[in-house]
Amino acid sequence: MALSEYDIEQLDRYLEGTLTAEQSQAIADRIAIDQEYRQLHDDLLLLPEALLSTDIEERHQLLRDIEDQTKWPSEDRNKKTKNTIPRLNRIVSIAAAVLLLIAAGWWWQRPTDLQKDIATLYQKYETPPVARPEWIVITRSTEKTMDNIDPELIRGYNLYEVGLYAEAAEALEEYYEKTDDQEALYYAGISYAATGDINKAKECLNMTTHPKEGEFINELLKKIKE
Amino acid sequence: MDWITQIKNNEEVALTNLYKEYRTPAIKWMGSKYDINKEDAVEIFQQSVLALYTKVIQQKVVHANSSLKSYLYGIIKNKIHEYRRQKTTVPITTEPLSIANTDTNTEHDHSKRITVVKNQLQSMGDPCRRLLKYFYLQQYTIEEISQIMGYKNKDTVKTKKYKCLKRLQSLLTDHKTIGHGTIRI
Repeated sequence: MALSEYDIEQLDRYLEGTLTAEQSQAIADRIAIDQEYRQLHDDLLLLPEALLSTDIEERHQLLRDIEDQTKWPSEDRNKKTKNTIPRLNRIVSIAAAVLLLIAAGWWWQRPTDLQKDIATLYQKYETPPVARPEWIVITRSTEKTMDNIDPELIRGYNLYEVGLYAEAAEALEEYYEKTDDQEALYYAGISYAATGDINKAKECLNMTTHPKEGEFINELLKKIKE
Repeated sequence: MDWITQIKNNEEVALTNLYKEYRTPAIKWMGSKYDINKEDAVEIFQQSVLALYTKVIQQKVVHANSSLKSYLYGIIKNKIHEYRRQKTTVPITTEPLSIANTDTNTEHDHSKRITVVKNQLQSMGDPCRRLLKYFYLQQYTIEEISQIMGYKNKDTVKTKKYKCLKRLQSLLTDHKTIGHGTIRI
């Protein structure tokens, strides 16, 4: 016999405990003898668990979908491990770049014949000679102290002393143009000479009125002319 | 609006936001603090979110005394311990189950019947399933369900509820009739 909505309502109220004692006893008796009714009773007892299980399964699927469909940022040690190789590569790349720069610097800073000539000439005029690495022989002599030197001039001198003569020449000439500093012009000229830019070297050295190096400049210009 | 209300009011949106916000830091944290690989951490995180969700919809957590993050991380910690226990448990070679093992048979019957009811609930769809969920799982009152689902009054909700139960019972009976519902052999 098919159960009616009324049967179901009564059973539901029985489980809720909202029936009278008599009504409850009648339902209990029916559960005992009516298999279909008993099955419905059992299923209603299972309903919360079944509903929860269904709901959780659907929510779990939702989370899986979010997981699969979202592009997550790098978040865990696995990815960090994966990144170890690129990171090592980066370190190797940086090391390689540094080595290349050193090699390039060495190549670039190898003394040219002209630089050697200038160095020899400079040593002749410098008193007393200062011990320097074999080929970095051009150095400046100044009476200025670090306290009163303009930072731009310091930069120019530093470039000069590390052998970056092209950059030094540019920086020192720029400083001379702004300040009319004869020493800056003098070292700009030597820097140009060291780079092999004879015309610029002559231009600078001929213009300078640097008091101490007249003879050296003359000889240097003579050398450059040769 | 606190996080509990957000989950209750709009489950799908709230879960999605929660998942997206906490998933990456939680996985990172599990990896660095507990040495759990990504795959397991994702599963632990999902299980933790589901456990949190279950507690909310079953009204086991009703006051947002602690922040969502603290609550979620508390659940994650418990799930991690559970996960570790499972990993360290040495599997015991199982002997063939005794037919006379009544508890096991009862358990088996129970889970089998749950599956049957679940399948029929799924085939019911909305609004019946939603209504039954609000009533039996979330234990909302008839008045609350009336407001949430936009029914005219309490009687409409009650009528609808019994119609849904009747429909479920019919589906379960049909299932049994066509030979899938036999529980005991």
